[in-house]
Amino acid sequence: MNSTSNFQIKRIGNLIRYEWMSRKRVYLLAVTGLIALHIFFFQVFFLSNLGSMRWESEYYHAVYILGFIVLAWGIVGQSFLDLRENKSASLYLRLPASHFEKFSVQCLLRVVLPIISYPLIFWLASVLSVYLFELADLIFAFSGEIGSPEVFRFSSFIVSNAVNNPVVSLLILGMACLIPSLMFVGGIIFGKRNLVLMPISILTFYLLITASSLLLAWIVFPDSLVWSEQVAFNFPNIDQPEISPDVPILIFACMILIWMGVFLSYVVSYFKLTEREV
Amino acid sequence: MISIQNLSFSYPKKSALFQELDWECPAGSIVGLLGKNGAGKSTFLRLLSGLIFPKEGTVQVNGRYSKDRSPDFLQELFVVPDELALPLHLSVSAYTKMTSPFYPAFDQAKFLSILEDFEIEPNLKLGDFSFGQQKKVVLAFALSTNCKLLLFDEPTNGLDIPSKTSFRKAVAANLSEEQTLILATHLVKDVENLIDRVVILADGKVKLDQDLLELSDRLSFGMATSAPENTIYTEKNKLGVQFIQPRVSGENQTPVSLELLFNAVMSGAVSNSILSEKNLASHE
Repeated sequence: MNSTSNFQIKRIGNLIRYEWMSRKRVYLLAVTGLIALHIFFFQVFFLSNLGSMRWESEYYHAVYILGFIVLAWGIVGQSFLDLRENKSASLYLRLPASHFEKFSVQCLLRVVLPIISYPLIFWLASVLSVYLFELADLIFAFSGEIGSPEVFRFSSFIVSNAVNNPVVSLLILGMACLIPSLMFVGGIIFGKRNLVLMPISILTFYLLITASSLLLAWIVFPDSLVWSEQVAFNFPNIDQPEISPDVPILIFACMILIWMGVFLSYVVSYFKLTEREV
Repeated sequence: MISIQNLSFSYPKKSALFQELDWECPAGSIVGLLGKNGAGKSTFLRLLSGLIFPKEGTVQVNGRYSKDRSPDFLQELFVVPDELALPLHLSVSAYTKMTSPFYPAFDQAKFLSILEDFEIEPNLKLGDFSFGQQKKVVLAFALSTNCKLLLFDEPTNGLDIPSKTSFRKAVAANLSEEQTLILATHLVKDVENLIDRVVILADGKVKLDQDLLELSDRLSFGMATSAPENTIYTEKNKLGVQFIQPRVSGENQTPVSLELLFNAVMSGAVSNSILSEKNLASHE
């Protein structure tokens, strides 16, 4: 592959080395910080439920989802860090690599790597937390008959979240992908204000969509909004019409729109990078 | 090698900085890019390096459009900006290890040799250096990349007097004939004996673009107690009058005084068009 090619593994390696050497401490600190934070919260949960029940693998799920959202916000949202200051942006844009290679490395390090490593970090934190709890239990013997907490098992997470309807499954998966994708594109649109502005944008967009849906529903079905002693929304039936058995058109349309949002986030990021001037 | 055609550029909500600017530069030149503050020297370098895009017209380097920022274009370009962005937590060696793989023709031995000339210890952290020392590291790195186009923005800013001498020596010793170096500066004395071509920017145009050898063939620079006849430009100082006049046949060549030439161009006494109109090749 010659140097005019838009994608060369050697240059990808150069970019990864550049990123690692520039921010090695940040990466190591992020991993240790995440593990320590999880251990802290797990200890709090274990101890606060001590007298009532044994902590089982299923109870981790809410923490996992919350942690995933925080990860998308705090780590994926730090995409294109070099473009945040003019001096570093000038240096980054002049690095001999194509826009596509720079974009790919950002996707790899800010989206793929955190999403792959988070389950491992979560599992490791749960193992360490259980060991820590058991160690403390040996000294203070506070667990009594309830026993020590269970370590997080991926199988429990997959089984309990399985949805039979493939469209609904795709919709849930799309929503899980949409949050990091939006935070990723926010990194290049909002820069250092991304951590605040993108969540506000998502919330505003969500409220607008919800409000406009309710307004439209109210225009078409005046009974859907009741102005009595308290305002109540009687949602019209969204299960109909269906495009195939158990697949309402609204769910299907939402699923398509969400996946388009995921895809377009990356398209917009790429073109913002190619058009970036310093 | 560098071809700029019909270039127009302006920053948002500001008047045009360049209008219908045309410029060509052959490979292997050391160009002094001069201009007053705000004339657009740094912007010109940024346009050449593809960091900003022309509003109209094209900028090409070795046949590649700078705005595409293709890897081929970027690996043959190194810019030393006026304001540096260095990973201050890294040592010089680590910085080299991190950045040099991007430049296939990087010469590590040359880099260490220039660092030695600049009296820079490669094992120290960049954050421990002064601004001038950091600049020397980047200048040494730039000269070692062997890139075909080097753009230095105010390279002698922050350098002490011995370092300026070392810088001139390093440039003269380490630049090959295929490499082009553009030095944007307002400190004309610092680059006077280094450049072989001078470009002066003013009012959004290239007011002067001349080879220094041709200039010293055509013009004579001197100083007298009173201004001689047939001068193009004169400038009084405490010692007398500095002047520029057409060089006559058989007269010895004089070194080009860049400062005087710059002032002459700014006053409108000398420009590309005046030089060609007057056909100041009287030596022929």
